[in-house]
Amino acid sequence: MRELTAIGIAILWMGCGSIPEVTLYDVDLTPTVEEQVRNFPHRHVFMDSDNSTMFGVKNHPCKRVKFIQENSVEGKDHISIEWNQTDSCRYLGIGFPWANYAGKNLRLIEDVAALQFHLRLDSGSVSKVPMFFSLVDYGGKQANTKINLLNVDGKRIDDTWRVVHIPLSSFHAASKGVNLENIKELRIEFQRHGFVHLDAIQIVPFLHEERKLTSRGAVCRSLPVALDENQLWWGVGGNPAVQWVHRGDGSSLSLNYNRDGLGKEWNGFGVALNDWEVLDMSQVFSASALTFQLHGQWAPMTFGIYSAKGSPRSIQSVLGQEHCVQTADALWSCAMPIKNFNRHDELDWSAARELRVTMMNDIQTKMVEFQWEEYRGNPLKVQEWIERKQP
Amino acid sequence: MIACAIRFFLLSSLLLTWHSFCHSQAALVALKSDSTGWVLLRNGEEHFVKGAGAKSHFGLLEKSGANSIRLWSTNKSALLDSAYERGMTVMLGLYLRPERTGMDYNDEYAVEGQLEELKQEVLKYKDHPALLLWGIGNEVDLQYTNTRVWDAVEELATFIHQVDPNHPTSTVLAGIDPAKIHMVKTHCPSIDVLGVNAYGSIEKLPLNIRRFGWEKPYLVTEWGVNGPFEAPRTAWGAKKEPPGGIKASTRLRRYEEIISADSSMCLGSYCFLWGQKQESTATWHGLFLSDGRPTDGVDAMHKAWHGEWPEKRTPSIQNVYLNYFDWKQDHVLTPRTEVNIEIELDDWGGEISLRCALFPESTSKKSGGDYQESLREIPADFSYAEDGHIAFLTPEKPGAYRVFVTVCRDEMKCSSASLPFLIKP
Repeated sequence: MRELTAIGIAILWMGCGSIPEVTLYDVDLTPTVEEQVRNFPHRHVFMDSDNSTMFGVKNHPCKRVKFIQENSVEGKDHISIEWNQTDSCRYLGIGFPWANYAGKNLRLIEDVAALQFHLRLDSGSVSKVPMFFSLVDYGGKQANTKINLLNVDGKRIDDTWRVVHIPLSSFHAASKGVNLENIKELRIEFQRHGFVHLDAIQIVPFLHEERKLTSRGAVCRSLPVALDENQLWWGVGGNPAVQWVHRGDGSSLSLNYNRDGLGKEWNGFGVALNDWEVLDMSQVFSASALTFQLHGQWAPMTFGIYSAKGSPRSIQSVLGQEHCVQTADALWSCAMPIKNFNRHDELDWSAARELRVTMMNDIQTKMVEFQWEEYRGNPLKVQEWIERKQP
Repeated sequence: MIACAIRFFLLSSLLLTWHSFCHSQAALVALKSDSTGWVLLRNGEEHFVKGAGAKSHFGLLEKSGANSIRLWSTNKSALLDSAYERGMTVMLGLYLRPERTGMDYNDEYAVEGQLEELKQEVLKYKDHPALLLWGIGNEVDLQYTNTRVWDAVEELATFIHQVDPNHPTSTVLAGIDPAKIHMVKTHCPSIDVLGVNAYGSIEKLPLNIRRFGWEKPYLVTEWGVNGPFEAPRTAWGAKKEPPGGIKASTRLRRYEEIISADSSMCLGSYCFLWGQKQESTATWHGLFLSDGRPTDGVDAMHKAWHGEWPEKRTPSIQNVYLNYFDWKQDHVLTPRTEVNIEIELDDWGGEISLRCALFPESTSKKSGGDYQESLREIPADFSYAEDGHIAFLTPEKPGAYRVFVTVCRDEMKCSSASLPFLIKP
């Protein structure tokens, strides 16, 4: 009996252990995407002329708006608009302050809804219609977008009704400063010329997956950067004045330029800092210098650093005697601190792209151990810094 | 009325297109290279491009010796028929939206949608008999940082090679530098011809094409006089525009010494602009005045393409003076003061007429040839003496202005010059 009781208790205990926990309200009350949009009170932008508010419908020589009953999708009629932009009418548009000018909050459905409408041409087919869609807030700010063929039924625009979706997220309202919580109206602007029919403009559930690629640029966090043969160069090799020469311990640039010679225009060469993509050097530029040795002759040269954006696009500095120390016969060690470049603090260092060298005078030399390295010294006392570095 | 007009226009276009297509077929355009360099062959015959960016004045273009036009997009496709009717070819642009206008080439949705549109345009026009080559994008490299735009260019170029083996592909750069050349070479191997828009930089274009490592042929897809963005400026920032005669001789020299001289890599050019547009001034780039009359620049292109001057030459303004100081100087004037304008003119006969007009100085900050609004003329009383001297009273309101002088032969062909000036109290 005791055994049976123990078994019973054990079964009961095991059974209790396997009974799932049940919350008092075991129903997920989070609305589905469908419900979120269907619950939005101002879904209908234009269904027919009786039940919609519009402006910009007055005809003038460049634009004719009509409400046509024949062949409508929803309601008793649809909009037909024909336009021809000229210098005398540069702005052509219509507007829908739907829901009787109420401030509409589209923020909550921005990622799960789209503007849907039916569109057809009067005749023919096109790959694009010069019409642009704007959401305008009560502050007067507007975010624009246009039809993307990927979201047109059959990826065609022709004389049959096509369902078009414009995801609300494709307006990129936030980046344009538009307050999606207080939208006043939808505007459609027309350019050049065209003739379209529009009907059943409404907000519907729509999942639009934003696919954003990442930037190809890179960030330079530490120095040195070797400016050697492994980088992408221009003006070297095909240029008789500048060639790579190979030594036992590496390669160097052989400069052999005669400004009165045959190839006198070939006085420049350059190197990409990040395979011609941008390189963000903003963390390292201020305490850095271009360094190299010259084996052979010394001559002034112009060094330019180029950015892909901003103004100025490039900064320059000319190699002078003050940048170099002669360490042996026909051997110079040189450094060009970036702080010595004119307007170095104005260059957009987040998009550095190229270093360029221009030979100004005749020169026969080898440029050895060219690199961009850390420079912790007084930019006006370059020679002291070089001498400190000497072994 | 509009409906009628548009329907008539569409019907006419359709009929013309039908007519063209029924009597012709796509030209076979190919590139050939040998020891002397590259040539463009059209139906087996060499076709050195003597072209212009043109939307109108096709009769005079043909008469001046041009054989091709450049269109920046497919928006005005009826011009393909206009060109074909006159025996001219077309470099047809496929407009890729530049990053500087807000296009994000990291946004795959936007990029794929754009490519889908343009692929449909390719299928629509690939068999047009006037088509010479495709121009994929125009100056997408201007003020850009996202190099993914080159992937879009390549995708279109690859598509074109799949569906249209008859026409080469090109993409058009806003000048060249080593980075751009590298990008097109490595990211766009399906590009056959490099298009380069070059104004001041045309002087070193053949050298830089080689220095920066481009090995295929190139076309100068826009060229002319130095652009407003390259012009010297007054102390108050107004751009100094050379007089018409200087601009015309610059065009002729650049054509003869740079474009036609580079026979090994250059396939020809499209001068800019066979028409008129506002870009800092109303007369900077256009070879025509805003009222449609041709300028001395048209004569220069006639000489460039035909090798000889037209029979009746246009008068040509070589210099212009405001109170005895020429167009290169800064002119600061006081309000309500009478000032003189004089011009130096190359006059080739006919009845000469003079007209001046006063405008506010442009304040547009647009770049890359983007649309600029035309300015409104300011009423001013100019007095014209028989010896060619002009006088006028400066405006009362301080600010930046520009005076335009136009000289015409028989009211038909004209030369113009503009002088910026500042009114300071």
